Amino acid sequence: MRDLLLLISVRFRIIRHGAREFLGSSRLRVTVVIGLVVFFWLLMFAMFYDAFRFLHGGFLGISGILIEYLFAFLFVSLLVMMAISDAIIAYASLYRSGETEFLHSLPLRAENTFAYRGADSMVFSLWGVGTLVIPMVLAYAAIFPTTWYFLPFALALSVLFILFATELGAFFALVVGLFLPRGHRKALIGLAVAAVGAAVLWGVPIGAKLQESKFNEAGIRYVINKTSFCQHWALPSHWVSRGMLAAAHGDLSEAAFLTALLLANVLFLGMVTYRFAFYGYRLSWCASRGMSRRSLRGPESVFWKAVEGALLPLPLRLRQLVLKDMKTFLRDPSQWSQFLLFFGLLALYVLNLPRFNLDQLQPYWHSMIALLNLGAACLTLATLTTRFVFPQLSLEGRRIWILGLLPLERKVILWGKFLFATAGTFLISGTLIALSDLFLKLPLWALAAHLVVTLCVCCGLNGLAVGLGALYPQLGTDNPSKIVSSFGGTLNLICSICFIALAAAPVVAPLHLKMIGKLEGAPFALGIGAGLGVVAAVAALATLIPMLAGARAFARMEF
Amino acid sequence: MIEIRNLTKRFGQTVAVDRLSLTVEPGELFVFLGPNGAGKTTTIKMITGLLRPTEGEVVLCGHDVQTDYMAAKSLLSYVPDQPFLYEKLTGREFLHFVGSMYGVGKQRRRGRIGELTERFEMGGFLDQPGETYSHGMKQRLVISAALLHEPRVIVIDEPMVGLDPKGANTLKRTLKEETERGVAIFMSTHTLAVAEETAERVGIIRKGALVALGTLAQVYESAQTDQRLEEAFLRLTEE
Repeated sequence: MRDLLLLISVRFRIIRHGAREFLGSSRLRVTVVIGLVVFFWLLMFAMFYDAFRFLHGGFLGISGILIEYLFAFLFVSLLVMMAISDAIIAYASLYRSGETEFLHSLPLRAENTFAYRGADSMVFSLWGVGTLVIPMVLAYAAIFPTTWYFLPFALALSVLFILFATELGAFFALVVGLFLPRGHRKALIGLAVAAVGAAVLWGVPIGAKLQESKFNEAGIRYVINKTSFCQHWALPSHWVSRGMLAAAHGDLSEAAFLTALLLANVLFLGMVTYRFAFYGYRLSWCASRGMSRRSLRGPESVFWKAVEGALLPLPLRLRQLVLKDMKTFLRDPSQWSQFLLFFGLLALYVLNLPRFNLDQLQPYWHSMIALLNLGAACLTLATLTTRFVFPQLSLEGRRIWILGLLPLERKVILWGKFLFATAGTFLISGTLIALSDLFLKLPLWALAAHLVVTLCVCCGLNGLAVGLGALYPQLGTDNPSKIVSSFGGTLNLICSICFIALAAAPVVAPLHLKMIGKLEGAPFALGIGAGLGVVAAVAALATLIPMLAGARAFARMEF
Repeated sequence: MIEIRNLTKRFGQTVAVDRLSLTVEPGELFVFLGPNGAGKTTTIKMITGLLRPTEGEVVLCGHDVQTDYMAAKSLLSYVPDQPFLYEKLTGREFLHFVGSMYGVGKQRRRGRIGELTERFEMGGFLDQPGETYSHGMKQRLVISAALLHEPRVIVIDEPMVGLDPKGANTLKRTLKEETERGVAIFMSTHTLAVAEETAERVGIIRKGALVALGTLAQVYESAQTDQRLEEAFLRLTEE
C-alpha cells in the first residue's frame, strides 16, 4: 500500500507541475481553453434546462415517466461508453506505455502497478460526467422542486458511478490482455464492429417509428417499451438514476439504499479486479512484450503499388512524399481510428437521412438540414485538420533533418503535405455532402454550390493547418495531443473556426432564400456569384498567407 | 550474483535466445556483445524480469526472477538503452521517487543524491523538469537513479550513448568502484573500446546462442586473432 501511495503522490506532483505550466503559458491559450470549457458546459446546461422546462410543462401528461426514462437512458449510455473508452485507455496504459515498463523494473507489486496505471482512465470519465451529468443535475434542480440532499446524493452517486466504470474498463482490459494475445485481436475488433452494426440495425427502425408517429404519446411509449432494458433493476446505471430521482423526490431511504448498493458493488468489483490482477497482470504484461513482428509484404505492398500508380501524375519526389505521409497515417491505428470515428458518425447520420420522412418537410427545412449538414462537416473538418494535419510537420520530430536535407526545395515538402491533406479531406467530406444533398433531393445547382464551398473550406483549413504547423512546430515531442494543445494548435483551431464562419456566411443567405422561393432570377445569380467569389477569395487568403509564411519559416528552420 | 541457466526465449517460430547459460560473480563486470538482433536486449529483459523465458531461469543473489521477483528486483538496478523519465518531474524529484520506491530512508536519500549529483555533475540541471534535458543529461540522471539504492546487481544497456567524454569516464570509474563494492554488473554495449577497457569477462552472442565466453585473452584465443576485440568480434559473429 505504501508504494501505491508513493505513486499517487508522484502523480499529484506531476499534475501540479502541469497545471502550473499551463497557467504560466500564453494568456491567449489559457483564456481560449477555459473559455471553451465554460462555453461548452453552459451550452449543455442550457440544453438540459430547456428540455426539463419543456417537460415540466406537462408534456402529454407523461413527463414523470419521461424524466425517469431519460435519466435511465443517459446513465446506461454513459456506462457503456465509459466502460468501452476506459477499457481502451486502460489497455494502452497497462500494456503499451513506457511508464509501465519502467514501473515493472522497480520493486513494485504488479497488482499495485495495475491499480495505479488502470486508474488513468478515471480522468476521462471525470470529464464525461463533469460535462454531462453535472449540468443535467443542476438544470433538473433549477426546474423541479427538490430536497436539500438531492445535490449531495447526486454527487456521491456520480463519483461511485465513475469508479464503477473505471473498474469495469480495467477488468475488460485485463481480460483482453490475458486471454486475447495480439494475433487474435482481429476477432475482437470484428466482434466490436458487429456489435455496433447490430445496435445500429436495432436502433434505426425504432427512431423511424418515432418519426412516423410524429412524437405522439403512442410513439413515445413504443420507444420506452422497446428500450425498457435501460431501467432494468440489475443495472448499476439504473441504481444511479433511480437513486438521484429518489433523493430529489424526498425518498431518503431508497436514495440511501441505492447509494449503499452501488458502493458495495464498487468495492466488490474493485476487490475482484485487484485479485484478478494479482494472478494475471504480470503474466499478461510479459506475454504482451513477446509478440512477433508482422511483415508488410504481400497484399499490402500490392495496395501501395496501386496507390503509387494513381499518383503518377505528380512529380516523382512529391509523389514519394505524399506516399510516405499516407503510409505513416494508415499504419498508425491511433490516427486513422479517430478519423474514422469522426467521419463514421457523420456518415452514419447522412446514410440514415432517407429513413426519415423528409418528403413531408417544407423546402425551408430541406434547406436548413442541408446547410446544417454542411456546417457540421466543416466544423468536423476544422477539428480534424487541427488534430491530424497541424501536427504533421512536428511529428517528423528528430527525423526532420531527413526532410531538410532532401534535394528539393522545402516549400515543395509543405505543398506536398497540403495536397495530400486537401485531397483526402475533400474526398470524404465532399462525398458526404453530395450524399446528404441527394437524399434531401436538393437541386443540382445547390449540390454544386455546396461542393464548391466544401472544396474552398478544405483548401483554407488545410492551408491554415500546414502553414501554422510550419510556423509553430513542436519538434521535441512525439505525442500529437501535446502538439495540438500547444499555442500553435490553439491558434490554428481558433483561426479555422473563424475562417469557416467567414467562408460559409456569404453563400448561406442566397442559397437559403432561393430554396424557400424568396430570391429568383438575376438577383439570385448575382448573390450566389458574389457569395462564391467571396468564399473563394477568403479561402485563397486562408491558404496562401499561412502557407507562404510557413514555407518561409520552414526554409529558415535550423535542425 | 547473476546465474543464468539454460535460458531460452521463442517468439512464435523465431528462437531469440537459445539455451544460454552463464554466471556473473559478485564484484565482476561482465560485458555482453553481439550484432544487432542477436538477442542481447531479449536476454537483458529476461534477467530483469520484464520478459518471461520460454525455458530456463535467472537467479539474482539466490532469488529466482520469476518466482521471487519482488526480492530479486529490490536487489537489482536496470538502466535501459532508452530510459524513461517523468518529463514533468525535476531530476531531484525523480531521484527521490525512485529512492523511496526502493525503501531508501529520507536522510540517506538526501545524502546519496548529493553524492551522485556531485559525481555526475548534475547540479546545474537537477531542479529543472525532465522534459528540458538532453540525452546525455537524461542518461546521467537514470544512471544516478540506478545507483541510488546501492544495488547488488546492475544491468545496464548501452550506457555510454549520449555521454560526453568526461561523463563516460566518470561512469567507467563508478562502475569500477561498484565492482570493488562487490556488485555484479551485466553490461551490454556496441562500444568495443569500452568493453576492452572495463570488462573482466566477455560474452558474445550470435543468433541467440553464445559463441564465446571468457576473459578477453580467452576470447582472442577462441577467435584465433591477436589482441584486438574488434577483429575477434567480427570473426566470431560473421555469417
